[in-house]
Amino acid sequence: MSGTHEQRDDRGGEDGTVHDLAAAYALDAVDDVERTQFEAHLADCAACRRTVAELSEAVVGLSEGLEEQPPPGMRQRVLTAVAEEAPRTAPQRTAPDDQTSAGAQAPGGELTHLGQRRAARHGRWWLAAAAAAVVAVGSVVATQWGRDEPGSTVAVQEVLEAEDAQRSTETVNGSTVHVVRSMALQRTVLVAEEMPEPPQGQDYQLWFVHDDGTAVSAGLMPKDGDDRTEVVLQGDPAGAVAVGVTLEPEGGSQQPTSEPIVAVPLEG
Amino acid sequence: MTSHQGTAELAVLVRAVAEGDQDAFARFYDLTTPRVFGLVVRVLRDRAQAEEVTQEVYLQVWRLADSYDADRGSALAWLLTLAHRRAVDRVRSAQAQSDREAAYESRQTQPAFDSTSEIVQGRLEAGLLQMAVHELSPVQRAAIELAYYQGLTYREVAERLDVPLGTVKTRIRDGLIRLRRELEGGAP
Repeated sequence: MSGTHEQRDDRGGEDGTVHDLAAAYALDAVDDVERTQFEAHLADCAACRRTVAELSEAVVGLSEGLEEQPPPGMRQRVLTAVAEEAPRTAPQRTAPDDQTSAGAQAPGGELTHLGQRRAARHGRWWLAAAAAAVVAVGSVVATQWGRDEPGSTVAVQEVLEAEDAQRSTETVNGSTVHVVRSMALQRTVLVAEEMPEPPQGQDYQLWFVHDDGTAVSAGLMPKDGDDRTEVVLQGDPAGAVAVGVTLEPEGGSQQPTSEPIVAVPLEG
Repeated sequence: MTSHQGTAELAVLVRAVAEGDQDAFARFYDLTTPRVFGLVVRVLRDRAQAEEVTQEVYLQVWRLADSYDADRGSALAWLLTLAHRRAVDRVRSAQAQSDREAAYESRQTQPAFDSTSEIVQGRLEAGLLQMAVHELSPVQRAAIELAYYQGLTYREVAERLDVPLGTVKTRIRDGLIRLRRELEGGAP
């Protein structure tokens, strides 16, 4: 444990440095957005990586003595589910280098009973998120749409400049997410500014959220390392009430497996 | 479980799982499930839900094994982090749901979140009981228990205890440092 971090913050309030989150992160006591941001910080901060590794072992102690035997049927259920998923997750034991990309292609799928239950749960969450986002839309911001970005494609520009473009913006911990929808073009563009890079092995996945709480994948956010990322969402935005962003295992999931980092409402 | 030999075996197993070794996965499951299930039951306080979450955790282990980085901590710490996150996700979505239903059925919000009385009574958690309890101050213990066993974020802990954010962060950090020292047998 390096002394710097141990002595750094006794100040209260919001003005702590990002290093101060190391212990709360190790204890898993941060929200999804802070976790994402801190993991981005961890990639660059050896001191915090060391602190987290050390304090995580203390956290391990917190579940000592709580052991309970699970019901006997669980083992077979889990092993069966893994065996069913195995061919897609690990096609070639002899080629471990392929592991990452192969694993990335295998979200959800045959684990339907688990996946569907999860989807149902998240459905309720999404519904709440969409409703909350609608309430929170005070902050529609005028932005420099259509400025000439090297990475912009014609499709992005078309949507941004569409006559019927509807724009919404949400801000989360310093990141700004704009969503622009053109019903005439049947296209939606998401512009993310200052979003931290997703943690290793994960992607930001985009979702059209419908008013019954269902979420339909709209593709992944490209990892281009820029401060500003523009992406045309896959699929037809008709009927969606919000666009959500979640962190998913690399390659994406069929249904959201985590709570949204942000949900941007779409105007009816 | 936390012996060096056990720790090393778990790390080896996770690497094998990352390469698609189902036997290694089964062995990893057998070695670790009581620990995971116990933690998840403790957080959710509901065995049926804990079963579902525990199954999800092990499917995540299978899918994410190649993201385990030994430099970031032990394989057990990695596993328990996955388990804790899943359990807390469940608590939070259940909480969001029960908040909406609270006006009609206030009873529903009680089981999972009635922790303050325990803290007031000074009841010690089983996990903490085994280590370092004498070393932790009551305020450190309260912050850590609320966060870890109740699934609150440090911001929620600050609200619950009505103390500044910085204070909660400090209590968590100092508490974990003490626990760690205790685990290491009082190393400086």
